[in-house]
Amino acid sequence: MKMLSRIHRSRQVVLLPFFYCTLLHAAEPVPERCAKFLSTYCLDCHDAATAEGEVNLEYSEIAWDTDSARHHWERVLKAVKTGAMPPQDMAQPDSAEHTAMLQWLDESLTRHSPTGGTVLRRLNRDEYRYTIRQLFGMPFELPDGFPRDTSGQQFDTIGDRLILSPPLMNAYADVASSIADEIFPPVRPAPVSTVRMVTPDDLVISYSSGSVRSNAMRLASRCGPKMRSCTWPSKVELTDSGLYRIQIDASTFGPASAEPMLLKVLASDVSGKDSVNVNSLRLLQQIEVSEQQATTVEFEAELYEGQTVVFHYANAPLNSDRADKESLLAWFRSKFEADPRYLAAWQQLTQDDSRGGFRGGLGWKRVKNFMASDELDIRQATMDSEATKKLLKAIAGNPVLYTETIAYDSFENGPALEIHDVLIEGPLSRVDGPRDTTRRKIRSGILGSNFSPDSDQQIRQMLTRFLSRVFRRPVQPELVDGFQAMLQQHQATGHGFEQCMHLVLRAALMSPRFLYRETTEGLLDEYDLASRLAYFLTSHPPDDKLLALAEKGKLSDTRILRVQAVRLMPRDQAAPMIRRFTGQWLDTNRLDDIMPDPRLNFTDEDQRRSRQEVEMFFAEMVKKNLPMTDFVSPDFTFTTAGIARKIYQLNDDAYDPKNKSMQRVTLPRDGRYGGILGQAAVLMATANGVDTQPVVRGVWVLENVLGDPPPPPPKAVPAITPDTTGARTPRDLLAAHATEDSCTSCHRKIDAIGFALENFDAVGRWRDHYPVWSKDSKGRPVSRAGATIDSSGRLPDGTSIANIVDLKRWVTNNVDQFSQCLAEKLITYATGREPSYVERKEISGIVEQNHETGNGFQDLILALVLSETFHTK
Amino acid sequence: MRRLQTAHRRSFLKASGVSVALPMLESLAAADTTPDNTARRLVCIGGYLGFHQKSIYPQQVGRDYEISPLLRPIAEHRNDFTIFSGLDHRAPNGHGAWSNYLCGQDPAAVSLDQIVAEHIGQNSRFPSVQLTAGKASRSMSYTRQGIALPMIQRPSVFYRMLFASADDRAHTEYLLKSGRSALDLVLTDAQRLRANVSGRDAEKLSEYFDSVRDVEKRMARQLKGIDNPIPQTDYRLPNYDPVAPNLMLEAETLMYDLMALALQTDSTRVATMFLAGLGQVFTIDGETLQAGYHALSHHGNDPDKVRDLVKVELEHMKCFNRFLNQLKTKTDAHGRPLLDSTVVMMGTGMGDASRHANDNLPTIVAGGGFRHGQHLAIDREQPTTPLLGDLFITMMQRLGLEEDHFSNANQNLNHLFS
Repeated sequence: MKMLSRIHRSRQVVLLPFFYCTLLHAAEPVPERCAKFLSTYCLDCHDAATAEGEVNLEYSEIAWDTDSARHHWERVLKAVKTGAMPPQDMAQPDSAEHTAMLQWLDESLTRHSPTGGTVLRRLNRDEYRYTIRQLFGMPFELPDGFPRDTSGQQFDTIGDRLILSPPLMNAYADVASSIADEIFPPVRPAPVSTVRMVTPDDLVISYSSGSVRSNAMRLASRCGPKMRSCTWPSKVELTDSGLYRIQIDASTFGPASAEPMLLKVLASDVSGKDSVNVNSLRLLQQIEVSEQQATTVEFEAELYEGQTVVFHYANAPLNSDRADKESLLAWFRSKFEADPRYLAAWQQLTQDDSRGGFRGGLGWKRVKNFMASDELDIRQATMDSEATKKLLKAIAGNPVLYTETIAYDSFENGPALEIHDVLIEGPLSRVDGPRDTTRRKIRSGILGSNFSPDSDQQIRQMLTRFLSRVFRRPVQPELVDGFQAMLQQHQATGHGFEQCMHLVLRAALMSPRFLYRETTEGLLDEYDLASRLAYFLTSHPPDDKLLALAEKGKLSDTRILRVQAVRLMPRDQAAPMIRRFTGQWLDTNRLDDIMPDPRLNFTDEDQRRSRQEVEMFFAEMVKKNLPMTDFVSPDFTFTTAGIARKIYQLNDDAYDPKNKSMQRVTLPRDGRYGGILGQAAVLMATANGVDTQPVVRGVWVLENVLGDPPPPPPKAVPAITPDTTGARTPRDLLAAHATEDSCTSCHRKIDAIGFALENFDAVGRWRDHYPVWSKDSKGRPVSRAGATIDSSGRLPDGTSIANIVDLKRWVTNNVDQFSQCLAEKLITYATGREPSYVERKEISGIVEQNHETGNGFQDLILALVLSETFHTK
Repeated sequence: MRRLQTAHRRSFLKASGVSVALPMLESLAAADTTPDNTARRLVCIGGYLGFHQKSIYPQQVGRDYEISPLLRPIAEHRNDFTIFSGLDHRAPNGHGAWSNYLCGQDPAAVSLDQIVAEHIGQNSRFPSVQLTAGKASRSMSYTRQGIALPMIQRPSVFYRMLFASADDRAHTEYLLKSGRSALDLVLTDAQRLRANVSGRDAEKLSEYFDSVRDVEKRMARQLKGIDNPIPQTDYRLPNYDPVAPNLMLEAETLMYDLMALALQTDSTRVATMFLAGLGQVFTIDGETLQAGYHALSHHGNDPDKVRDLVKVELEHMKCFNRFLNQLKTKTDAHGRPLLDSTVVMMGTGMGDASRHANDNLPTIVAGGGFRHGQHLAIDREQPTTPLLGDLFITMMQRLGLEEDHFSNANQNLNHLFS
């Protein structure tokens, strides 16, 4: 591995000033020997006039200093090197000619391709968000509708693709202003205490979470999201943090119970998401309600600006929490056991409408009608009948749907917790809300302790410290002068010190020194290196430790840099780098947009968990420094019991079926599942939620696993339409690829890989046959085995593969090609540019070296961080 | 502002080989006597969950159609609107694709309202405004850069924008004036930075300078607006913001009222409003519906659910009617009803929410000086069948833009409707 030495660095600085490239504008002639090679073996097809495949090789000289020439001749190098050109049936060069040609191309490309060249890049959305959070130590989210980033080379960190547009600058201005408002808010008049009266009609109902009957709000069910399990006053939003007196009239409704009902009164932000989990809300009071007669409860509690109170029936027996299906099933069972007609009516309801159109009160009305009907079929109305088992399975499969319907039974018959009138009075006294506390902390962070705004010297020190922090490097005196002058002038025109700081904050957050990172040319200086390292590994700005090392000029010391990189290495799934990098590399960001066909039986939860699998897997690869081959053929994964069973079809003893959360599962090496070619999320991201397209997956693997992306397809070719009758397989439809010359050159690489993945359906479940869907007598979708899937093929190097297992074995046998691909992706993500020829050569050296020393993934990342490519702007 | 010349339009129609129908000739004749028959304002309303097609589309086409259930609330304006069926963008289906409603085939392409705002919005206090009734799950307006514009959810925020109190105005003025000095400071420093970076980086920084200039322009416009007398109104909002899910219809009413006031005071000429649709359970005329709005939209043709769904949609149409009434009674500077010179489109990116289908999008266009009163059914089977984008072209031309294409559309509907 090439390590960066001090001498090396200084040579670079001397040799690579910016105008270096412009000196080399003249084109270089093609040496005679190579010109002969071209005219003998290439120009029959690739002369200027014919230019087959739009490739013209008729040049007497080459302008190597242009990107386009380098790209062009690198393609030639690759074609000659792999033997793709000249074509097999044409005259072939002898080995000396071959070597000489490759040598010339390699030397020219090496000599002329630059190291570095990232264009000034602004912080992207995520980096901006994390930067504000770290800078001020406050919770911060970008406002809805804050402009999205445009991305390039698949990542959102690419300098020349991160555009700063007028709407974005306007958004930056607005956000800067609101951050300043948050920290140095305008002074408000003292609040006046008022009484707010809330009647049951003023309480929110969303997703059948409650119902007003006999002038009382009845709550009957519970689950995580506030909007599905709570009610709250729709017209109360407190404007002042303070102590409030809250009075609630509550009662029980329905059959008497030994246990009192638990009413939780919580505080919630009106502007916040209504899907927030109730457990994350601040508990104000827990009230035991046991009387059928309305009883008044009164207490005092702190509520903060922007909040209201939320009511939650905390021990409701009806529970639609997905993680606790047993309790919902128990509730249904107890209802079914008590009355066969009730059970029969539910069977009838779900039989009539398998799509769940009965959700809510309409369904309950129908249950009652069925029960009252003389024609109700009660033959299946026993607890052990098939129909009942199926019904209970359906309930477990969609707790929310069934809860929203059976809740109406409880609204009508109990048990339900009734809320009558609610009274909120205050503020009785002012208190600091969490925002006030945070504010005080942030201010002392900015101003320092014992700060006095009367001393110019202290103001200057404060500004110097604050601005260096915001700009991630020491600031020049003239910059501080500017800020100080502005502050003093503002003060002189009658504005208080807080207003002055408000202005300083707004200005600093609009500065290009804050919005852009990495400004030094050539080798990054210590501070830019700190930024590149920190944003790469943590998505955050450099922390105090990194900045202190930069200040001492020590960060570029290989040994110290390595230690810092190890310290910042993302080790668990929560690290932002892991979600951001895998989301863009493995396309798992796409999952949010894919709605899997309901017939594939893959829930939103499965989707979320399968994405988590990819992230936990990646984190484990880093943390344990596992060998690169484990990316493809690992002996473990992380998944849920549900996915292990229904997607990966593992034996019961391979996982803990009782464990509801993510668990580490041992897999056989060289099996079908596991690794980036066998994870549900990846297989899903490379399909469309309904069916699979071998070409799409083939291209995806070439691009993201093998680093050998094919050129874009010709425009005139239509996309194939899957044959849903099952009469023709995709292989039949793609047969033309093998015979048409214009297709073969790319598709012999693409299709074999795509076909090897065909055994995985659109959510990654194994299949041996294409399904043929039809409907049974009740209109429900059923599948039967259609055409057998033929996953065999021949890889470009001639290796025959029978299936995915063979493909994985081939990749692990050629693991450096994968490592090179992933290393280039990491470098692109980290440096904000696509690596040049010479940089890829450096990476290739790193990959080889790493292979010899254990091939650990963390080691690879560390070696990349120490590379010249990483260190150069 | 680029104005469409009458002669230009005539030759354009001839060139496209469309036979000119009688109403068209009449409107052109009117154009000859009235110096300016272009419309001046655009309002686009988009319902997230769409409208039940069988309840909104009349059974008959043409002028003598029988009013459909969902059109009943706006029946009094029958001769001031046109209902279209069969239009869409030929785009993919799903909630995710909803956002193409104003963008055409590509969900994040520049939206109709933003194209129009570039031409007719630049001189008003707010070049365009984006509103939502209820918590928005989608964007509707996109800039040329493909950036989704945020929507205002709180009526109080929009109210303060329009009719700032003296205190608010003083504070805004302070922020703008001091903001300018902040910008001056960072610009001076940015120039220093530019001098110290490479040529490519300096070029990249031009994005920064251009963008800051735009912020300055916006500030200058706002400052100018502050010197102008701020419109006054005796319109008062309730003392709470209706942001709770089940108060969405109340928010919708308030937003329509404020939008009418915004147009009347010429605070803006381009407005969009999104009608959200999540799990809110509405109480309508004292009766609480049997399921949340979103659950109702997945009705699977269940008659009970359709009935409740249509109840919600009727409320949307009642709100819309109130808005149309206001645009008829409120007048512009020349004393003419606002509606005559305001193109109002009520539509959706969702053709049938029950199937998540984004084709055949119910669309109503009112006002704008068009010849209205018809149900125009577009025959989707014809090869040259017009698209929703063609209607947008006609609307843009009416607003004075010389546009002859929009996304995948390059005809227009002038021959049917103008």
